[in-house]
Amino acid sequence: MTETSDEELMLAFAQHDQNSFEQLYARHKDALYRYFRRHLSNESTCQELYQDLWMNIIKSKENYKVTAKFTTWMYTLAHNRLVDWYRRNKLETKSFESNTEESDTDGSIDWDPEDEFQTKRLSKHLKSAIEKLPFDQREVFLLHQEAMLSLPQIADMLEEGIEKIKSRYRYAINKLRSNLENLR
Amino acid sequence: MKNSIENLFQKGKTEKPPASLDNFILAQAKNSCDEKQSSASKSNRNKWLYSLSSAAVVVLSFSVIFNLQNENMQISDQPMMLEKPSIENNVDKEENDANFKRSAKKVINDPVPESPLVVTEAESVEVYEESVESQVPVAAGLSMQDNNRENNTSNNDETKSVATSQPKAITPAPKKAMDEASSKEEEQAPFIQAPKMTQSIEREIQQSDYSTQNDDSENLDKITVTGSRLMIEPISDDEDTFNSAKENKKELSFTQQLEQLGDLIKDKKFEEAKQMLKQLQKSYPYYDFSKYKKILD
Repeated sequence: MTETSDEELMLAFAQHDQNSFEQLYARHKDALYRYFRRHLSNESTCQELYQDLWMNIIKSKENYKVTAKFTTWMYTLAHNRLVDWYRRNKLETKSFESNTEESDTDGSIDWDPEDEFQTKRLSKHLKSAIEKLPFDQREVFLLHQEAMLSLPQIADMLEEGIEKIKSRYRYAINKLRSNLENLR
Repeated sequence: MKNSIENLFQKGKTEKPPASLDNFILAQAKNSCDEKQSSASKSNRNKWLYSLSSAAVVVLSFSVIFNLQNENMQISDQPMMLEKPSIENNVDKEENDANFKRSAKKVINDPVPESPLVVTEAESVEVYEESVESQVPVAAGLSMQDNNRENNTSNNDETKSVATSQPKAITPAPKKAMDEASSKEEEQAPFIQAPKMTQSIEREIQQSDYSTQNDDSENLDKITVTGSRLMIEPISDDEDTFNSAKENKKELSFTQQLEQLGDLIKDKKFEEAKQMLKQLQKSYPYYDFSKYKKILD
């Protein structure tokens, strides 16, 4: 049995189908919440932006047209909302990119997935490392790992070149790896 | 053992939004759906209301137009309906008589039509000058003198065409006298019986000079105008000529009676004048008859 696509659910919700929205919300609520949570250290601000985004989706349901994947459209709205919040709070969204740490790109680290204690400890450090990433690199990493968007989709969404997006992603991985290795 | 950072990140995806936030968002979505459905139903209801009201307006306007047309048709029919009872019942006698007098005057004044006017003289038919003259209001002093009445008996059992007959039968009255008489006549009470038929006009003509008490049947003629034919017939013997004369006497207007009173005084018929004055005083108690009283005294 094929699963109903996000776009179909959104179109059904535009036709006042409450169940479609519940399905859509159940699919994407956690990832979206974590997207905001990784960007914002303040949980209340995270919840505020998260709520605003879903309200925006609900209001704009009648204007929704299937021009791209639903996740692309939803994370575009989330990105714009986040950038707007950053600008209001006069925070920097652009980071200076250097090639100094681009030597190792595989992003592999030594950890045992069966070791839950180690996994939790590393995961906690990873989250703090992500928060320390520059906005551009963090945005690309989260869109790729949380929203599960491909790098070309991210490039289209952010209206940037694909090489630039790839570069940002590599920077993000190398920084995270170096941070985790420093724990040892 | 080497594992990627991506795997570590996926292992750490444990955070979830609070349940209260989930409920709030889902409630908002539900409200939006309900509002839209209610607004949609309202818009549908408004559409029905609009269409129903417009249909009602159309029906009402058509009914109003239809009723107006019916009323117009009834109004156009009304003259025929109203005319008949007014004549038959003699309710508005004055108006009917005025109409009759106008038509009678027209008959007198109109030139002879192409189709010959036939004067039928039945058994005891007598065509008098006065019978035509008497169509002019019989105002005392203004009426045609009827001194030649006795000489105007004509032959019986003849039907004469007016076009071919000699002017002996009809002698036109002086125009001035006719005009004055007609103007006075219109102001005064009518004395001619209104016709009962719509297509013919009947009239009794009686000699107005009742002071002579000449109530012979000869003086009572019946003129019938049917189409272009003018029929002058005598009143049949069985009609009560005396009563009709009496009625005509009553029908004389006040001014005519005053003029007759003046004529009686001029003719030095004081007894008759006194009697007439008494009658007038009874009929018109508020009028000042002192002038006549002084003369008679």
